[in-house]
Amino acid sequence: MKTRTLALVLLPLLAACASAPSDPQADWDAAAGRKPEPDTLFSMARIYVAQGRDDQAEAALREVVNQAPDFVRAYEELAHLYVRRDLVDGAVAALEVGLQHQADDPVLLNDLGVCKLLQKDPAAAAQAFIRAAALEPDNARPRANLALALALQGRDDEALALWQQVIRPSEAAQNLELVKQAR
Amino acid sequence: MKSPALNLAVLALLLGGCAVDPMKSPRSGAGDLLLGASMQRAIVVQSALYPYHFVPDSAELNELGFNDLNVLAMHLRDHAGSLLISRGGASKELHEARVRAVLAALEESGVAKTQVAVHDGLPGGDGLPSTKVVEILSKPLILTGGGVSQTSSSATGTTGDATGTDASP
Repeated sequence: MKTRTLALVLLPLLAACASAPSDPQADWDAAAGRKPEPDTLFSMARIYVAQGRDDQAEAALREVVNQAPDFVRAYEELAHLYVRRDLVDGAVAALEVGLQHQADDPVLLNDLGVCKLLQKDPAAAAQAFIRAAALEPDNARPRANLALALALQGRDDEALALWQQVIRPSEAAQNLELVKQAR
Repeated sequence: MKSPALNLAVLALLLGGCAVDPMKSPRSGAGDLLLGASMQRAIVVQSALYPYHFVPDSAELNELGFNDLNVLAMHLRDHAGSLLISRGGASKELHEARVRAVLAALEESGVAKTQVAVHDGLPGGDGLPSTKVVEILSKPLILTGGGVSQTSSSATGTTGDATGTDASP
């Protein structure tokens, strides 16, 4: 290959390698105008929650689900936030919207069951826990919660048997006694 | 709930369960596998299906019912045993339909009908301490008065105190 031809081939390659001169101010301005990503917003929301800045956390979480409706962890966090503020209806609404986007999410189902218990609807709670337990067969939590929902309905034998699957028989009997006193 | 304090305690427990998120983490650690194995063992030891395993007022198993029955089927394929199908508050017809549905599902899973005896009684497992179980007399208890004479059937009850109960020797 002649030297002149080689130079013609190499020049564009070298030009491609050399980066365009960057303007840090322009880069900064462009980034400043950009919206935070849902992941970033979610992390910010959790920091706000940890700091007790619930209003800002709620705003950030709402923005997450506006930007990314399938971001199910945001519905879960929103529900926790609402329950802490004694807004159980809001928590149920958040979880139900989350379940519309991901119907088989065991965490959302388990939390929905908890909210139904808070609403004193143990039958509906049991249905949510049943689905959560079926989706996470190795997880004891939804089974234990299901036992509580059954005990609150007076279905003592079923509750006791379920508790005995996840805790010692003596503890299971103790749990049942506690619920009997409470109902 | 009667007691606000207890109410709060129960809710705190549940919400604690929500906030701490064991369900979020990947469930592939040795601890999770052990817990899963332990629950499967408990399901086999109890060998019991309850009304919560079925769609309400139906003979159809729900998702959890299918899961637990699969665990039992794996065991029953190789080991003959008994299976409690609790009647609970179901009518006789519904209970019988549930028994048929379970036997059919077991057969589909490769469990021969001869491998399993269905009953409605107490589940397997550690259960209650024997000191708290009172076997009510099998011999007829005669109740008299007003020209009525009745006999009681045998049953098993539980009590923390046998005082006043006619217990068998």
